[in-house]
Amino acid sequence: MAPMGPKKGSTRNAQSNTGKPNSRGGISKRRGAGPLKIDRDGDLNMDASANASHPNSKRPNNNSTPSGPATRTSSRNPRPTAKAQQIIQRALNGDASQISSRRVSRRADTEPLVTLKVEGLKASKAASNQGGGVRELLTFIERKAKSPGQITRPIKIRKSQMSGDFVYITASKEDAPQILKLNNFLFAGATLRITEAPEGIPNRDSTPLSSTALEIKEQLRSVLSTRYDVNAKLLNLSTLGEDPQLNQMGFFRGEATPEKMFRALMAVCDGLFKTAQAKRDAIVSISLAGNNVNDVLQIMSLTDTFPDVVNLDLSRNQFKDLKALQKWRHRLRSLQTLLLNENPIEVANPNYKAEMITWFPKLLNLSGTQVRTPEQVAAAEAASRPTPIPQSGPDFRDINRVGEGFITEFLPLYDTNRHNLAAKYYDEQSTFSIAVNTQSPHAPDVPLPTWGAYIRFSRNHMKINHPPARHQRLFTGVNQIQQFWRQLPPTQHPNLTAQLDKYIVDCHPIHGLADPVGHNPLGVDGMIITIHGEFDDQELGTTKTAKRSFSRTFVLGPGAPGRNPIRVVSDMLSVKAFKNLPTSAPTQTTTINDQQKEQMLLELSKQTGMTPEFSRLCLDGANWNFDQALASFHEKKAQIPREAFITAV
Amino acid sequence: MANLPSLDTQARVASDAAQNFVEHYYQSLNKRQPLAQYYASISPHLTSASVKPDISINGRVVESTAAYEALLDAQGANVHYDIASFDAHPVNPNYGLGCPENLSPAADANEGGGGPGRGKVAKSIKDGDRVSFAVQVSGTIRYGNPSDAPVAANAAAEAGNAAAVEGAPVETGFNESWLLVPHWEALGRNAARGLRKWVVVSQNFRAF
Repeated sequence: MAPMGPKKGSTRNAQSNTGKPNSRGGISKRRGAGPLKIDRDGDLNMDASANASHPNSKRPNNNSTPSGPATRTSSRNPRPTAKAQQIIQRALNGDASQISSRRVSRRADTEPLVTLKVEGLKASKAASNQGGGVRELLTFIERKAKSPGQITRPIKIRKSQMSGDFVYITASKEDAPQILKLNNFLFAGATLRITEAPEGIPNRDSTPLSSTALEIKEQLRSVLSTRYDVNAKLLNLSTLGEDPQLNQMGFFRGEATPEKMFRALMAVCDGLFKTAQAKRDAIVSISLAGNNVNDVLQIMSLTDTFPDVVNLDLSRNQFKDLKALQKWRHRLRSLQTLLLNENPIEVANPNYKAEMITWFPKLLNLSGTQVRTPEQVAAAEAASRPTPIPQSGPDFRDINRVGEGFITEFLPLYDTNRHNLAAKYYDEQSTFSIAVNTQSPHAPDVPLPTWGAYIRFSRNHMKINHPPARHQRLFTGVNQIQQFWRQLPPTQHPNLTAQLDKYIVDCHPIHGLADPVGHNPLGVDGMIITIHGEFDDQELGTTKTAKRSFSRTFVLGPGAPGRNPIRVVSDMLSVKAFKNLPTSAPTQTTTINDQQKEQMLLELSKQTGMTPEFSRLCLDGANWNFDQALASFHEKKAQIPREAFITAV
Repeated sequence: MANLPSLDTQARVASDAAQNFVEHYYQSLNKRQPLAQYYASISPHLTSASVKPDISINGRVVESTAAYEALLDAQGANVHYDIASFDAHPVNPNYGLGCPENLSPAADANEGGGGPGRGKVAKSIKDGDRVSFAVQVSGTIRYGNPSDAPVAANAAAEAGNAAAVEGAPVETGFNESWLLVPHWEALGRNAARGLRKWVVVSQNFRAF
C-alpha cells in the first residue's frame, strides 16, 4: 500500500507517539524521511513503500513511520528544510496543526475560555530556539502563573498559536486572571505584555504569511510559471524530480515528501485563480508524465484543484492496475484525453481501456487511441438526458357543467365574501386545511414571500407530525371554516374567464362518496377538481401585498336535501412562492391537418349550435384545441351574439 | 350506520395512511419500481365493482398504470421526485364500492358474534379501516443528475427557462392530488400479507 499524505490530525498523533512530555502541539513535526527520493532515472519517487520491489534495493527504507527508531534519530538532526516545511504547511495546508491542543480535558468543551495576547517573544532570546521559543514561553507562563497558595491546581493553557509578533493563548476563565498577572514579567531578556484578546485567536487566513513562507510561495509560483505554456494552456508538471529549482529548495531532501510538495504546488495553483472559470480557461491540459506515481492517491489534490481538466498525461508512471486509478473513477468528468502510456498497467491488464472508457463518459483519446467520437459523446449525453412528461391542455371532464359552475363562482366569492361562500357549499362534514410549501421552485428574480400569515396554520404533514397538531389544523364544518377563513389574509384571484391562461383546472368524476341521505351503502358520485393558479394577498392590518401560487383540490358531492345541491366534501389548499404556469405544448396545432379541422368544426357546431363561421373563430382562438374551444364557448356563452347560433338565423 | 368512525378517527386514519402512501409511493417512483400495487386495478373486488383508477398526467388521461409507467420510462433516467408538503382529508368514512360479502355489515350477523353493529365488521368500520381519503402532494421534480451539470447550463436554468435548457438538470414544481379507497383484499381475517391497505382510484398530476 502506498503511503498517503498526512491526514488532518495525524501530526498530533505523531506528536503523542513520540512520548516526549515537553513536546508542544503540532507545530514541530517529527516525521522522519529519507534524504532524497529520486530514483535512478532522476524521477521523483512518490511511493516510498514500492521501493522494496524496486530494482534499486540499496536505497534506505524511506517509509516514514511516526514512532520508529529511525524517526527519532533523524529528528535530532537540525535541518534547514524542516522549518520551511512547517511554514509552508501552515500557510498552505490549512490543517489544524497550528492551533495545538495541549492536554485538553473533557471539561474544556463546556468551560468558558478566555483568549490572551502575549507580546515579547520575538524580542526574547528564546525566539532563536527551535520552534521559535513558543514551547519555552508556554512552560514559563504556566509555571509562573501558579500562585503560591494554589499548588494543587496547575494553570493550564488550552491552546496556543503564534501569529506575527504575538502568541495567542487560550485558558479557562479561572486561570486567565492568574496569567494576566504575569504582565511585565521578564522572559528570556524581554518584557512580556499580556493583554486580553476579546477578538479571540485571529483567523489563520487573515494572518499575514511570514516572509519565509511568502518566499517559498513565490518560489513555487516561479516553478509553476516556468512550467506553464500559455499558448497550449498546458501545465507541464512532468519529471518534477529533476526540477533544479525544486531540488534547490530542498523539497526532495529532509522531511518534505513529494506528496506534500505536490499538494503545496496545487494549493499555490489554486491561489492563482479568482474563479473556477478562470482556472478552466487558463489550464486545459496537465502533464504529470514521468513522476513515478503508482496510485492516484498521491496526486489526489490534482482533482480538487483542476476538477475540469480536459487533457491529462500520466504516461511514464508506475500505475500497474485499475485499483491504482480507482479513486478518480467518479472525478474528472470533463476528461477527453488520458495518456497512460508506459505504465505497467499496459502489460498487466491489457483490458484496462474498456474499463477506463466507462469511467470517463467524455473520454475521446486514451493513450493515443481514439475511443469515442465527439458525436458519440453528444449522442450519449442526449440519450441520458431526461425529458419531462409533456404538458397537455386542461383535462376537464365535467358532469353537467357542475365543476365549471362551481369553480367560476368559487374564486370571486372567496375573494369577496368567504362567509357566504362557505355557507353555500360547505356543511357540517366539510373539511378545509392549508399547507405551505416553502421550498417550491420559483423565478430567481422574484423576492421570496414571507409566510407569517399562513405558516402557523400550515398542515403540511412533512412538518406537522403529531396527531394533535394535525387535528388542530384541520377545520371541519361550516362554522370552523368560516371562522378560519376570516383569519386568512384577503385575496385577489385573477378573473377565471378573462385570464384563463393563469389557471390550469383539471377535473373528473369519482364514485363512492358518502350518501348524504344514507340510503345507498355503495355511495354516490361526485367529482374531484384540482385548480392551479395564483392570487395576490394583503397582509392583515397593512397594505403589503404579495403574489403567490396555489394548488387547490376539491372533492365535490351532492348536497343533503334542502341544502345546496353541491357540497364541498374536502378542500385542500397548497400555497407556494409565485411561479408562472407552463403553457401547454403548442405542437398540437402544427399536427392538425385540414381534414381534422373540418371534423372539429362540425363537431363544435353540432355541440354548441354555433354557425360554422363562429365555430371556426372559436377554434382559432383555442389554437384548434377542441376541449379548450368548447370550454371557452361555455365560459363566454352569455356574451356571444345571437347571430352566432344557427337557430338564430 | 350508527357505527361510523369519529371525525377524529377519520382524520387520523387519513393522515397516517396518506403518510404511509406518500413515503412508499414516491420512493418506488424514484427507484422506478413497479407501481401497480398502489392502484385499485390490483384489487379484483374493486375491479369487479367497475372501480378503476382514473389517472390524469399533465392533462392527459392515462389508460392504465402500465401506460403511466411507460410515460415515466419515456422520461429517462435520473428523474427525482422530492416531496416538500402533503396534506390529507378523509372523504368517505365508510367506503362501500366493491365490498365483498364476507366483509359486508351483514356478515357480522351471520357469525353470531353478537348481532349487527357489534361484530368484527362493525369494529373495523369504527376503527376507520374503510375510510377513503384525499391527498394533496406538493414538491419538486429534478430532471438530471446535479453532479453532471455543466456550469454554463446551470446558470441558464437559474434564469428561469426551465425545460428549454439543454443538458442542464432542471427543477420543476409539481402538484399531485390523490384519492385512495380501502383495498378489500388487504382487509379481513385471511388477507394476504404485504398488500397496500389503501389503493388509488384517482390521480391528478401537474408539473409546473
